[in-house]
Amino acid sequence: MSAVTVSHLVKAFGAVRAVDDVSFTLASGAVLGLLGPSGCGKTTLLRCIAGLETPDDGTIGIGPTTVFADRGRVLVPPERRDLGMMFQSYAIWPHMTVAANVAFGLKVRGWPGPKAATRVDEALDLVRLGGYGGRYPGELSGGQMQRVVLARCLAYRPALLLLDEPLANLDAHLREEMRAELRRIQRETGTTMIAVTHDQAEALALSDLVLVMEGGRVRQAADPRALHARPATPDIARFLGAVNRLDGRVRADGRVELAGGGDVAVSHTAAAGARVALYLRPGGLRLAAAGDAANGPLARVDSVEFLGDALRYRVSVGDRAVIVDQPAAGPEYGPGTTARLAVDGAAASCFPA
Amino acid sequence: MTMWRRLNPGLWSAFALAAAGVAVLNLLPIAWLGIGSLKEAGGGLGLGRYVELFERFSFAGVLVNSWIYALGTTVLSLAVGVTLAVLVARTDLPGKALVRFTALFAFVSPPWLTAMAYVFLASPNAGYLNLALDGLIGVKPLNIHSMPGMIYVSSLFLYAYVFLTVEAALAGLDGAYEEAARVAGASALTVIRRVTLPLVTPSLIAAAIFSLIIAWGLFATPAILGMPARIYVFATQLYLFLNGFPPRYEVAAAMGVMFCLVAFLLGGLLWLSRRRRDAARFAVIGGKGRRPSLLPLGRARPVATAFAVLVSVLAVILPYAITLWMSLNTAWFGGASLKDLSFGNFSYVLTG
Repeated sequence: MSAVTVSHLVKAFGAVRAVDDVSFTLASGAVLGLLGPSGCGKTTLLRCIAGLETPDDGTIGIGPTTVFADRGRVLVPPERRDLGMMFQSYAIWPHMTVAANVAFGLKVRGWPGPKAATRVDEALDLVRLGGYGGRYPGELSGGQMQRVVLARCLAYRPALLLLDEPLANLDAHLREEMRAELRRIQRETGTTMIAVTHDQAEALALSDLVLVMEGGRVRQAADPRALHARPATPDIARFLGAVNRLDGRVRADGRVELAGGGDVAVSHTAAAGARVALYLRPGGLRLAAAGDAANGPLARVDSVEFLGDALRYRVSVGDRAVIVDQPAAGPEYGPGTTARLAVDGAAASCFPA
Repeated sequence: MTMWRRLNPGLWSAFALAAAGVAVLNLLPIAWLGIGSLKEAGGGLGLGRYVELFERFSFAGVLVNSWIYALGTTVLSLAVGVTLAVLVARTDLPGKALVRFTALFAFVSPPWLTAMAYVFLASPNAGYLNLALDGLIGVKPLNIHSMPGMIYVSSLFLYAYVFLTVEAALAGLDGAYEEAARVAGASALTVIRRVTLPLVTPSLIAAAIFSLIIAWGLFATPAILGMPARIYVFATQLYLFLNGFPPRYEVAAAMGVMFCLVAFLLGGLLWLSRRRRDAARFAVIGGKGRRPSLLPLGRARPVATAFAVLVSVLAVILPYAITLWMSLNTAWFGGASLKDLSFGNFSYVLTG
């Protein structure tokens, strides 16, 4: 059974169509990632599903219920959509204890006190905050607040959990920890989730299905592995981290001959003789000595950055700037020297240029 | 730090001067008031003035009146002001500009103007509203020269202060708090009751205490509305002591001391509310928060709109209109027709 069905959804603010003809279905128990740069409409889409914004057109179904249709003639208010929502700013009510925050959804649903208290304890245990019920939010750390919000959303076991940039306010190591926690809790509870994020790693790690949005439209819908391997457009490839572009031309034998020298086997659909552009992540390239028999063009090293396990080279191929990450072990190429690029054809995305 | 040290002598003298100024301007009068109130008629000091205040002038009644007046005004102002603030800051109420404009206008309007206008409108026998109701239903139910009348007219001024304070607090409140409650399953009314208002509690307390303090100090309204009906509150009783014959300065001083006690009580309440240890339990009011999407009023919209318009009419439009009308009217009280209008009253006031 599909938990969420959105079809042809439109939401405009004045002349700007923040959400423009968006459709998708999400299976029960699955996690959908809404990925895109800020201003792409992903948060507006999430708020439309929550009922905090009223769309202009299209339909939204949650479980068996149609919550929006017919340009608003069918419109279920947020409190009757059976949702949980995590806000980027946490929005933990500072005048209530942790327990009162978590109990809120149960109270407004009319749960009797003792039964609600049991459920609150369960929810706090689930997020590993057992025993914190009596504290006030002001006494908690950022990571703990995140857990309180999660417990507050899950205590009444909503049909769907919405997350708006759930990890954006955490520092790097906490973010990874919470990401794993979110996944664990999602598996344990089987909650259907929709998470908005501008962080591709977050989207790939959390989701079963990723919608890449841009300008209010869905540009690609795919599972994380397919998305990572085969971005649909150069923009999506760049957004997913393939910031390096190498130009080339398809040879008669199907290999791509690179501008500046070298050739590489890439999966593509272009005809022989067509101009193409390869997009690669910094990890899809290596530097080798200029005299080596690597498959890429010559590059001039502009700078080297030591990142610990890896070295980050900024090099120039012709007039294109290229970033190369490679393991710190092995020879180092100083600024000003010339080296040869080794291109991992399997990691490249090829588009007509 | 070094700059601080270098400026120290200069700053010290500035602080000393300021402190001396505060002491002279504030403490000296209070001290004089205290001493004056203790002077006995035959010389020496004693509590005779206070005894006289309560026994001869039934001051207990004035105290009770003052509290009823101040509390009543505060409660009514809060009810109207907070309701309007929530409607303007959080719902799709139409005509918000009118509500804001009315509040500003009501707040800067002199209280005596509204009081005077309501004498024209709702005095027991000749008030326009009473005459109109007499024509319609055969009774004259309104009497502005009463405690409810005083409370009503003062609230038309003080609600604006509550509205402006609370609306500003709501405007700075991050909307995510309320949206989170909505999505968690709470109806709009529950959200207002359990999340919105608790989060702006500091502004509600401040508005309530300032309203009490201002109501205790109001003179024009109780003078114009209360004195003709022999309803005395603090300010008007004090006025009588000072302007009666013979003037009773020492009794007035005793009364002033009583007033200081009330002021200290209210000031202390305000101070307590400001230094609450659990300040973190109220939302940080800052520019960062986003306003939540406006709540559709739905079927309540006509009622809410009527309420907002009614407040505008009662607090500003009607008083100004009737005052203008009366100022142009040369016939005696209520003789109303267009031919009676002239600038005669203005030339009388201006040229004497």
